[in-house]
Amino acid sequence: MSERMRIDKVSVAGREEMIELLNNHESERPLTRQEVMALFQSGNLSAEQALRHLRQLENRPENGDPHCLRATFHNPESRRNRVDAVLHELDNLVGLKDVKHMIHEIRAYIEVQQKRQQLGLASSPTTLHMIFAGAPGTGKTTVARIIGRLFQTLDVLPKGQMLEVERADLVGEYIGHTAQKTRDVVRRALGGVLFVDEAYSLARGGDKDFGKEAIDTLVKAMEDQRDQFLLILAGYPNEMADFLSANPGLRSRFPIHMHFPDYAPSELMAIVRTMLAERQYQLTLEADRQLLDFLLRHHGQWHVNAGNARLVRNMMERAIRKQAGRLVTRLDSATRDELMTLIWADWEGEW
Amino acid sequence: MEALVIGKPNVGKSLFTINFAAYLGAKQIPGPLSQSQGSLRKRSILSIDEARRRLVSPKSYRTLVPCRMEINLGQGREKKTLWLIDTTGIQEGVHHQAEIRAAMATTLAWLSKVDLVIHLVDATTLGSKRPAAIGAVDDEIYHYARGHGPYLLLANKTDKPGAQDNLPYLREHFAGISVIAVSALTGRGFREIKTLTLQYLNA
Repeated sequence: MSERMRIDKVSVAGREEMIELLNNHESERPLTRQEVMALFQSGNLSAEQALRHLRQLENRPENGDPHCLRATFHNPESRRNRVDAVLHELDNLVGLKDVKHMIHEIRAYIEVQQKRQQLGLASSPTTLHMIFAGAPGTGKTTVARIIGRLFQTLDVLPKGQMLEVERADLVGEYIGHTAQKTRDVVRRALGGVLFVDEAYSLARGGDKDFGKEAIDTLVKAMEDQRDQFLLILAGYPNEMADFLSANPGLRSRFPIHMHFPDYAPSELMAIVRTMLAERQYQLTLEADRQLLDFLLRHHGQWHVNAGNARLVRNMMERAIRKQAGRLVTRLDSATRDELMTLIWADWEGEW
Repeated sequence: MEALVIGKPNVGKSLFTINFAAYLGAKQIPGPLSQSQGSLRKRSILSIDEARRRLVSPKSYRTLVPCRMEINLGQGREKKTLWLIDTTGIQEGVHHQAEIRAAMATTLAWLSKVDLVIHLVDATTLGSKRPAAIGAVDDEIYHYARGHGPYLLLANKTDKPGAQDNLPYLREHFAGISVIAVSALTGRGFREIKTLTLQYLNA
């Protein structure tokens, strides 16, 4: 305490540095968040010291980033910042290198076309309907949602909402019903993105099936309301290829085909880590290593539709349940760290 | 989106959280965990009035477990959920009770996780020796949260006499961000906070 009294007499300007110095002398700096928390809980750090250490720990790796985020909040009129924020979110997704690259290209294309239009040059219309092909759990829906927001910030689509539909939402039950139902869906999607999941199911039923009528109505809407909504047809790669080859007019109407590849083991690992961090769980070093090993060993052996990211999410959810089962018997003595930590035994088992 | 209400003990965090939740349309507040040692501990559900009676107290450290309130804003497809988290007050120095230190640690752990930090200070205690007086912890929270993301600094208890005169000093002390004058008791400033919260929520 006497130290602090002395500091109070030092001029205000030098005060910060003095406190900084004092702290460095009295103990070594804690290196991780966990260490700060442990020291604070055991009473070796005061609240203000703990906060200062946390701040320093966070400022070390990346500096300007949080400020860049703030800028988007405080200058809502600056379009570039908002676009960058949306793209930043896209770039934060694990893997999907080609998809990201293509979306960056689309953004550049749109901005250049808009600039050309401003300067009175001939500009091609920005119809950018898309086909997404990829196994389940490879991020098709997530990317579609981001594209909706991106196009809204780029002023291509007025609202940017995403309407996710499947066959049952488009196809009617009796003759004449389908066209009406599909038109209703399109009307709701105007100004945003219409995302048709498992689109190939529209063409599956044969000649008498109403699915064909739904396709025809969608195609007509694409022509009539060209700039007012974005149609994304999504599905598994093989089925989508069949679907497009069976409907020759379709392929040419969708200028953009995006392929969502299966995730590599290291990417799945990164996904697990992010999802765990979101739920405030962590892996022991052992579990981390073993899980990566497990994913590497089974890579390429999963069933085609095992589900990629969805698969690891299910694995993670099972691990969380198993951890709960492990801890529930001695819940009163469980520490905060234990409640957050998943060990390898939680993950083990057949998949 | 998660919003963390943080501040020193006795600055009015719990009352602010309850009244702000009520202002945003919440009808019920999750109460404290029941004390029975059964296998399943249930949170009781309190009405707003009950919550004000049971969760707010003039003594420090009434809130020992963070209390998460779910608030639904918007409607239909635009529906958004705001989690308002009420926390244990953070006091300077080392508290002698391990239980309270653990509760404070939980608050600090939340601090880095949330999307919006709502920092309350007591506008009446400037320069006083009361535990709620603005001190080193407030400065640290301010430095921490400023670099971290959306951050609101609220000067509470502005319904009390003398608080208004302190506002200029507060604004000078916490330079660089706007200090919003509120009163958790009367609801002053809630509209402004709601607007800002919605802005962050939609961004």
